[in-house]
Amino acid sequence: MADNADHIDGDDNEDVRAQQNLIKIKLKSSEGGIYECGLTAAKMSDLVKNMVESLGTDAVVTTEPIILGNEAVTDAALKKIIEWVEFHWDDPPVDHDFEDEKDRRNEELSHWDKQFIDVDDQALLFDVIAAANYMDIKGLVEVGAKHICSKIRGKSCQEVREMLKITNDFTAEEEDAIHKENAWIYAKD
Amino acid sequence: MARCMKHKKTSLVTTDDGKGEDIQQPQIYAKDSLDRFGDDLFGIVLSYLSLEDRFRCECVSKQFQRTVFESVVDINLSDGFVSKVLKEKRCDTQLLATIAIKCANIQTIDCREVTYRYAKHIPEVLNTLRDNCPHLRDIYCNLYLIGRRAQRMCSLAPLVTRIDYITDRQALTHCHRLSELRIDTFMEIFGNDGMHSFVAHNQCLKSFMVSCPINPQVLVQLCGQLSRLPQLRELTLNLRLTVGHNPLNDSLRTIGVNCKQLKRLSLNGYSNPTQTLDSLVLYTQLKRFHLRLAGIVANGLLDPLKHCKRLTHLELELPRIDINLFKNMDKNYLRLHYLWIRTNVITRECLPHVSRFAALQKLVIHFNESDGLSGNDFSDLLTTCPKLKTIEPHFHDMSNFWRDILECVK
Repeated sequence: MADNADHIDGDDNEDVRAQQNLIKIKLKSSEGGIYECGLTAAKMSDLVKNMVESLGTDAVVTTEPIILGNEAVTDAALKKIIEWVEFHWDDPPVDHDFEDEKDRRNEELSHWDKQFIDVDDQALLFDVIAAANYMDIKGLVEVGAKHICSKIRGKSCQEVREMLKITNDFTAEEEDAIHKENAWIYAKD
Repeated sequence: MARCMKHKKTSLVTTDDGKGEDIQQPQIYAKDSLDRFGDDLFGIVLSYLSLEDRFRCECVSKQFQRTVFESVVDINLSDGFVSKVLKEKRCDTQLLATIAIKCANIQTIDCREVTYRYAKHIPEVLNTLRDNCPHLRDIYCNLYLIGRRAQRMCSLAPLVTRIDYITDRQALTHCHRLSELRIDTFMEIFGNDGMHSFVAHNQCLKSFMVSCPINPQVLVQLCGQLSRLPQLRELTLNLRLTVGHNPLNDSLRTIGVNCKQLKRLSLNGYSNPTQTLDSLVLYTQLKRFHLRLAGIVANGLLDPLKHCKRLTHLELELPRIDINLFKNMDKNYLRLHYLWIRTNVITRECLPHVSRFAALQKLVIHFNESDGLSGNDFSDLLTTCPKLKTIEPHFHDMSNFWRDILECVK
């Protein structure tokens, strides 16, 4: 009965996950740098997970590194990504009976994640987010997105453009029209 | 996979996934400009903005405008929001319709935070949103907000799936899709026999929470009815138990035998030295357990929890946490990630036991007194407990806190 329920739940056995993370695989950035990462941690990337599953674990461990060819996966970005998955691979699994994912969406970032994602170099920050998106690591994309949104909070459009280096492609008239349409949001509570 | 490798390292074109805009003239964006993201990723990034920030920043760029509203799936209505969509003290339906059309993917509207001050506008707000949101599936709503007019109840109540607060039974009769109900009065709503038909009409109920104290006779009846809910996942009970006859354990057995999906259980009450929770052995699916007890807690009260092998979250609010409580606990908690403790007194010798929770990642302790616990003990714990990442010790005077509980119990 209990085994059956295990299966339905789909939680991986924690011991197996820990064991597997002792196995190291190699990841290669688009700049050519090769980095080691625990298998369970690396499989937080759906892209890597699918590759490992189609090639077989043994092949991945003994042969060539997995090539991550998107140009956002620079050496620096890949190092950050490995740091993140090595910290988070043993996070509690999501329970689909509850709105764990929605709850997490609304939660503030943990202290560790805040420190992790607060990088001064904005090009690197965007590389990490784009690379995590390419590698399909939802949790890390979320961390990056929350960080950016927390910086947008309360800022004016012009400040947002300057901070995130976004080009304003509206004409002054168009911008005025949108502003007028959204005037209600500025009304006092 | 080959597709992913096509991109040349030198190219600065960024698309989300390698497909899409390849045919268009490649545009070169600076690496530190958010313009480099394709619409999909841009939309994901903006999906964590508040509704207010989304409207305020709509005119940042065309890409911003294109992507910022797609991810609005759930909206929370607050007093602040309602006050902004009023025109001359009436709901501006045209404005609201414009908002709803921009946010075309709304599935859930949560208006449980709206207070009496703006309650009278809620029926019209909800009706307007419903007429303009083709994907609307759920409304989370406290029924007084809809009012008592039968017509409104009939049109809106069937969409209501979560309720935090209700005052009368009448309103509930129109709800047949409830998945979550929180109440803070019991007899006024269900009386002696109301629970039977409620359970019959809301078989999909997943979460039931009562915050008012319930006396022993009612508890037996309530648990009997709740055990007919096969989908029940989460249960919170607040008990007014007297010293002596104590049906808690039997009631828990009834639920445990019948509600096999129950994964979260929260109990709040008064304990005496003979209190046992033996029937917890039936809760093999239990993942989160919260226990708040005043009074004297028996040694080994928590021993039955060792059969709950899936437990990931344990929250204890007890007058005293000592070695007797933890003695038999450690080895069997292979999945416990989160331990939260609020107590008056915690003894130092508990900590080595805590360090044996092999999967523990976060420990939060609120305490008032300890025998010689120091910061060093906590930093030792970080090194001895293999997975522990965060400890939050909160030392504060909680004498009032326990006095409050004891008064409640009386």
